[in-house]
Amino acid sequence: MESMHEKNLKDALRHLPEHRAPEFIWDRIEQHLEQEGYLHQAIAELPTYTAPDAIWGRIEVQLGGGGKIRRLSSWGWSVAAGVAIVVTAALGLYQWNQTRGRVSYAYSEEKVAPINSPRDWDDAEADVQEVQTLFANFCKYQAQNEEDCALENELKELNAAKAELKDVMARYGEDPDLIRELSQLEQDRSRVVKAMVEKIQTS
Amino acid sequence: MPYTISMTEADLIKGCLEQNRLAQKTLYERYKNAMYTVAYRVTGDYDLAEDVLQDAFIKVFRHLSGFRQESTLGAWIKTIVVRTALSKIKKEQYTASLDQLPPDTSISWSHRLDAEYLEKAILALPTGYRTVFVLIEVEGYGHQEVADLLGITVGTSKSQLFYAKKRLRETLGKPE
Repeated sequence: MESMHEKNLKDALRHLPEHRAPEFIWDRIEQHLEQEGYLHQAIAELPTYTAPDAIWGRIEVQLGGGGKIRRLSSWGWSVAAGVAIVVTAALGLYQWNQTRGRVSYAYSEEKVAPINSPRDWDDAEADVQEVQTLFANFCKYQAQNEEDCALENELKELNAAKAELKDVMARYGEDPDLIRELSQLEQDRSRVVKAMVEKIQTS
Repeated sequence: MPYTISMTEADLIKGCLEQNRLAQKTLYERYKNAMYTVAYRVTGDYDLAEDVLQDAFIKVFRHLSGFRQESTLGAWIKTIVVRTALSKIKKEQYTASLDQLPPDTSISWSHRLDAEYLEKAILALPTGYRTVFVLIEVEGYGHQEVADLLGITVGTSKSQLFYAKKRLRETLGKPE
């Protein structure tokens, strides 16, 4: 029932009469457009003014003259602080070096007498020769086996090495390395001579 | 990034928000003359217009993050300029109300108007008349917007506009 009423209403609305707009309304509109048109045309032609250049300078001052403001992050501050410390330390060291007294370096050369000089060794050479002769007699008459006489050959080899080394030093000078080598040879000869003496004494 | 006068508004806004001075200058260059003109028409004084332009653009750069793009950037800046200009001029008493208006408020402009004379006539209007006329007829604001800007009623805005036009009509005279 209700839907029928609604349908009838819609049909009635569809058939409502159309009214004609009075002709004078356009005349009024046209009159208004003509009247206001002159005003709006003149308004559209109003001049534009140029802002003085100095204004931007004043704005920039108020915004802050530094341009873009960059904010350092926490690590940025750390780096900046580190750089500042290094630069400060470097400047401090430089200043300290500039202001402190001049340092003078004193040195002297000392000639150290060679330890176990060939002359000393030569002085002991007679004693070594005496022990060597005594040990030769020991080997000839008292030694029980060949091992007891091995020291004799060892001493002969050390003696030959010493003679060769002294020959080199005579030709090329007393090089520190040669001296150290000669010292080592003498220590070995002393050890062998000592062992010879002990053999002779214990026999 | 190089900022040029042909850059998009979005790029300029981004640059200004990053406090890039070149972007700020480019934005200023783009709008300075239009805004200076508005400031001059509202205040009617060159020195005041300079102060208005300076103060307004400081506000623009400081509050640009608040621009919600609900209007164009130019419209947003213009509103700041107008508000700044209104704060500079002497507070005018807007006493005329709609009730005082005659039944026919149409003003006949039956002849072509010279823009230069019109400008002089506008600047010669009393501050209250001039402000409403400039904002509505020249800058395109509606009566409600003007009412909000000036703190007056819509009726007062309409009456001010009527009397402003009437005064202009009298000043500009009839065609020769």
